[in-house]
Amino acid sequence: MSRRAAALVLVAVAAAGAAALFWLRRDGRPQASGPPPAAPARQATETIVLYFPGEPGLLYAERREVPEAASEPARLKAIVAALLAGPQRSGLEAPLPAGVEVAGVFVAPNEVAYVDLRSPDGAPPPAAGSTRERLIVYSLVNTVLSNAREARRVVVLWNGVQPGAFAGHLDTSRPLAAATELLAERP
Amino acid sequence: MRARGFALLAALILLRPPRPLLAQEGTPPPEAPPLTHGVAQLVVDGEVSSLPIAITPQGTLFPLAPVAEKLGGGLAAGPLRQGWVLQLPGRELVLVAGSSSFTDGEQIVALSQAPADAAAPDSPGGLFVPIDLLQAAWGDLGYGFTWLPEELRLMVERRQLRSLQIEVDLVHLQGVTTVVLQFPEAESQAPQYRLRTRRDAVEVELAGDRLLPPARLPPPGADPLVEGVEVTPERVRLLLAPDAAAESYVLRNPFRLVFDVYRRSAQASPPAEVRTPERQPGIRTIVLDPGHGGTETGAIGASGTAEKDLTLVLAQALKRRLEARLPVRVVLTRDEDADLPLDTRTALANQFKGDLFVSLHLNSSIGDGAHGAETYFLSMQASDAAAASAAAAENAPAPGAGEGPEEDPLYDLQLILWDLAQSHHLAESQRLAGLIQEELNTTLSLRDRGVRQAPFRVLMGAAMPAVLVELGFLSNSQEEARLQDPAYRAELVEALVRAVTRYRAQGETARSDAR
Repeated sequence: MSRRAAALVLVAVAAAGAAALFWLRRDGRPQASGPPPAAPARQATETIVLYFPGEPGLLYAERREVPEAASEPARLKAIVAALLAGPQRSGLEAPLPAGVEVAGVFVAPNEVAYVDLRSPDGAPPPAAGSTRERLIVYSLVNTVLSNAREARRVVVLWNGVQPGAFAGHLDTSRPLAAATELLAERP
Repeated sequence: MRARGFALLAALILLRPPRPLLAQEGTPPPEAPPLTHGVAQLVVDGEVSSLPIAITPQGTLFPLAPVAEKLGGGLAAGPLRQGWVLQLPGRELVLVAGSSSFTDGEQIVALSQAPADAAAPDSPGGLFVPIDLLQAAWGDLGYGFTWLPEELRLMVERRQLRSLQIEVDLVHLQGVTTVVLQFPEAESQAPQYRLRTRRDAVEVELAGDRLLPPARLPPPGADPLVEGVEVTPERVRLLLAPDAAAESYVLRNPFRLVFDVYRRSAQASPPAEVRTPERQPGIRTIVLDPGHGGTETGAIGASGTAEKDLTLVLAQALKRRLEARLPVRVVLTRDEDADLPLDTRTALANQFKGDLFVSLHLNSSIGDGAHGAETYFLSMQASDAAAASAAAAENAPAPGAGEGPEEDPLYDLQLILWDLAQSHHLAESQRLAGLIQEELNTTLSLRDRGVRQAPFRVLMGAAMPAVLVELGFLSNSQEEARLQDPAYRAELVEALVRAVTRYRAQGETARSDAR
């Protein structure tokens, strides 16, 4: 190749490179022939509040930022599952023993939320004195009612059945309203 | 007036946004959704007027003030200039901008979106609300609301007056007459009414509907407290016996208006004719209920103490001491380690014609810090007939939960009467609870956890003053150790004996004063 031809090739390569650089920098990304692809959507999140039992027999709020769920039942189920998984803060407790799971949460048209809990091997609700029992039940009730969009009362089901009294004291045969007297002002 | 002020303040506190029941420090309040203002038309029975609207990402909001002006209703700022109070015939709705709930009397009702204080530059401002609030407020008065977004028109139409069927039932039980007015065809939309209390009658005046003649009415003069029931198209009138008074409450699904009629003088000392012949005034039979039993252990202490064992030991000792000290018969609901359903305990107490019911328990809590004694009587949430029965009506069987007693059409009524049995004794239950707590506090140096109320099932059906005593925390190792000590348990028993003795003596004094 003559020196002139080599110079022409170099100029051509440099021009092509400059054009490519200009094209790339024009809007920061290569131009496609069709419409630009949509930017990846950022997952929407929401703040939920969970109420965990703690001393001296009160419920303490813990806020979490969670991804928005596809449906209200899925959202409430995830909220109760987070409650059962336990607190992030020390000094508080999960309301129920490990192994208890939420099978589903649904809100009936009469604005009653049903929380369906399942225990390993169908075990009955844990034995508890009345104070502990109220903390267990109302951690569920207050958590659901704080987050549910259309519920005013809560029924707790245990292995698919609504117990007459959860652990021998509290009447759980009827839908329960939130118990604000159990809430601690300062966690 | 003062009570109303407190009720409004309570409603405002309840409705204060954000929604979590307790806001935590350092959490910024949620931002109000962006608003776009517009002008629509309000069409009420064909009459057109302009209506400012506010549009949020969740939907359209309508100004409350002009709608209230058109349809009737007073709108005023809430106490301390917080929130708004919408006054309608017989009702007060409390709303707060930013809160997606409002209160209608004692009910909390959810909204599709929160109202907003949305003053447009060229509008008078005020509270803007979603259409479901308008429907909730004026729907019972016969108005229907339709929003036509393409035409920017809010259509308001008044439906035809309904001719409602009414059924009247009357039951007399243990000195209380319960009258149930049922409106079987008004399930979707409850009738609007006003109550008027007169010296010798209670009137239910229909606000927007008319009543058809009932198929049957209770025969006049057959009931000791309700001398007759009259039904006209506009009203129902309960004719009360002299000295009778009535309290009313509402049940839903289907809508029912219930009256509890009792003798005013019976609250202090029920006259003999309304009591069962077997149950004479005074404390003759005391029913003690050792909590839990059998497979249901109750609380378990750190060193393994089971609540069910201690409650039985305590109840047996208390029976001996009470029978030695007082001329009473003492009955235990269980005298061995056996399962016994809660409802059976109360049923036994009623069957034994008990004059007092004392359920003995030991407590547990989170951690081991909690200690001390507390005495419970039934909470208003559970005993208030309106709340309890409304809850029962709402208590439809859950999918997959199997058929419940709600399948029985008489279940609701049984439940109401059962609950009323205890609600009629709440004042006496509270007096007994106070004396028990006082004796436990003063003689045992226990931490005073006070007299409390809770919806405990074992108290619900008792047709007598009934309390549940928590004598200490098994979750507290020191208290568990004390409870294992027979001498300490004897002190607990003596405190309970003194409380019952004082309760009985106070009752005797009241009766002799009345004579």
